[in-house]
Amino acid sequence: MVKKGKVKKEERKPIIEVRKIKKTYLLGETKVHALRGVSLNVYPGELIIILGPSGSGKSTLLHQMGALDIPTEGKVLVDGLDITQMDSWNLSMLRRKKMGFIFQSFNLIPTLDAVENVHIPLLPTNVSEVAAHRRAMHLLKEVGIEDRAHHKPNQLSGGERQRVSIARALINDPEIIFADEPTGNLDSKTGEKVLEIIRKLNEEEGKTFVIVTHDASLVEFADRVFIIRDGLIEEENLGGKNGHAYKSESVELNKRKRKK
Amino acid sequence: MLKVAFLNLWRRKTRTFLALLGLVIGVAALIALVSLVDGVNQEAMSAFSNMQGIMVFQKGQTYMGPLSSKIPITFKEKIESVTGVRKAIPEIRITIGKVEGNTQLLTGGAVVGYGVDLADLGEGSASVILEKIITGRTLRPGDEGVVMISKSMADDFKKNVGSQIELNNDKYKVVGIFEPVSNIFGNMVVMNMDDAREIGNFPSNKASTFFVIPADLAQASKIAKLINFKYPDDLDARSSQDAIEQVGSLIENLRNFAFLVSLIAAVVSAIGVLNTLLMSVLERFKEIGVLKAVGWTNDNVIRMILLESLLLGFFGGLGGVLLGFLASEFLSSALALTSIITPLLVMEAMIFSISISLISGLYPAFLASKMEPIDALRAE
Repeated sequence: MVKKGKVKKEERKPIIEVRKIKKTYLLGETKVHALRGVSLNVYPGELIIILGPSGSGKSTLLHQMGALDIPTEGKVLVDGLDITQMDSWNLSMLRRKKMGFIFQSFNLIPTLDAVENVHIPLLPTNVSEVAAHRRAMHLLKEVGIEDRAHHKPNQLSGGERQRVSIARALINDPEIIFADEPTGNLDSKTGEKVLEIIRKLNEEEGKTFVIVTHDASLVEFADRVFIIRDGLIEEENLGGKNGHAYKSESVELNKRKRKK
Repeated sequence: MLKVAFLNLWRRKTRTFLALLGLVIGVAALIALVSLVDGVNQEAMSAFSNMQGIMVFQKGQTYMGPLSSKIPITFKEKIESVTGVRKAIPEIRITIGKVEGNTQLLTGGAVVGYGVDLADLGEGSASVILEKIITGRTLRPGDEGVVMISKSMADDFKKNVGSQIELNNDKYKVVGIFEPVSNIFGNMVVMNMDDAREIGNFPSNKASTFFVIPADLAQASKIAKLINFKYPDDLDARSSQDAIEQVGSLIENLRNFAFLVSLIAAVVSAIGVLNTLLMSVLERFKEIGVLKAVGWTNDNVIRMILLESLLLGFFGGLGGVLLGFLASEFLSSALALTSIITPLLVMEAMIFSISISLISGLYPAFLASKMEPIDALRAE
């Protein structure tokens, strides 16, 4: 059995505080209780992994933390500000200034080439197009695909597309990056390369990451791992980064436990 | 942002093209119709402004024009006795149904025969023609059996100075060819009054109209009223100023009508634009959601969609002006009318197209702004 991990750096101010959030939505006529009272804190520079099987509510939790959605109950504080009290404009600004997103299916704009996709978040801002372009090129170089800058998404491989979307998530120099199954659509080798980029960004540039996945192999990069099931956090563990060596047995274990 | 909007439209080229086509046709209809009305207006104005005087018609025959008006010749003295009238010149207008044995309508419309008292030619309403002689000479007092013809007739029947031309059943000699004052009177023959009576089988004791020259041109309107007051049952006098005003208001109505017709075309094209943008927005709900996830505000999304509709409006307007220009050229040559495309009209057409398109873009833009990032991501 895995022991409950002890959270380090408690004295630091959390960048995100999730307080007893519940999320209920209607699917047709049935009420779905996606989150049933979740609390957690994310501290600057951490790499957090939220692990859970599909339907566990992990993506919903990420959406609430990333100000993409508002919980039915409870609060989400970002830098101490309650996002449940913000209007749509302020939420957009919050996402623009503090957050980056990486999606499982990349979600690139098909008509734009790689570099344009990277700087699209800056388009409505007063950052000049030249500066935005320069920064986007720099980021593409950082994720290792600057030679693919002028290719459209359909001319890129899955791994390249995900790297474009990582670069896009970085364009605003966000404090925190949310990733929903970042390796979900990639083969294991490409997935490893993408994870390596994420690891470097976290360790060398101090970016905070919240990663949602059902792939337990990712926990070796994590500071802390939350295991979520049926809309509740079942366990909080230290990740592999803190010398905690455990692989996928945790999730498997829980599955077995439930079946009994 | 402009590039993104442009590329968005470029995605579905056929659909965008069809929406544009709707706009292009609407704008082209506007340009073609209004340019023709403007052309007719200018023609009419120049025709009337060249005739500084009062035209007297038979009462009740004003609207059918001079061709149906008949006034006993004895009115010449009666009109000349009205205060302020210097001279009343009788004139005869006839339609010539057969030219060179040909009864078909010519490119410039029906042939109008213009019979004038040659002694008064320099002062009558036909006097403007005298300055427009291209070849040959003008008619002189005492001329008989000779005519001046307009250029379009000379071209149609390949006539030259010295040629014979058969009008109804008699042959006449062409002595001069003139440029018509306006295309409204494109096919015109000017001749001695008696010759006109013979060709048109016109009663010898009558005239079609009187052209009245006032002693003081500035008093024309007043004198026309005086004539009408004196002979209310027989005559209807109009100064050229009155005619300009009357025709002007008629043409203003025509112009508004042309706009109205184009407005119907506009509604149709607006539906096309609305449909295109609506489909495009609905298709892109995921992309729009992602844009909002990466920090675009509702306003940014609205701006992008409106930019797309603006582009449609701009290019639709541009295409419409081009097509309208061609249509207008074609119609004006087919109908032998002048058309004028003024910069004002081009501007009106562009504003027309862009505003239709922008208005059609409002709902799709609003819809797009209401798309939540979460709905896009949940669809994963």
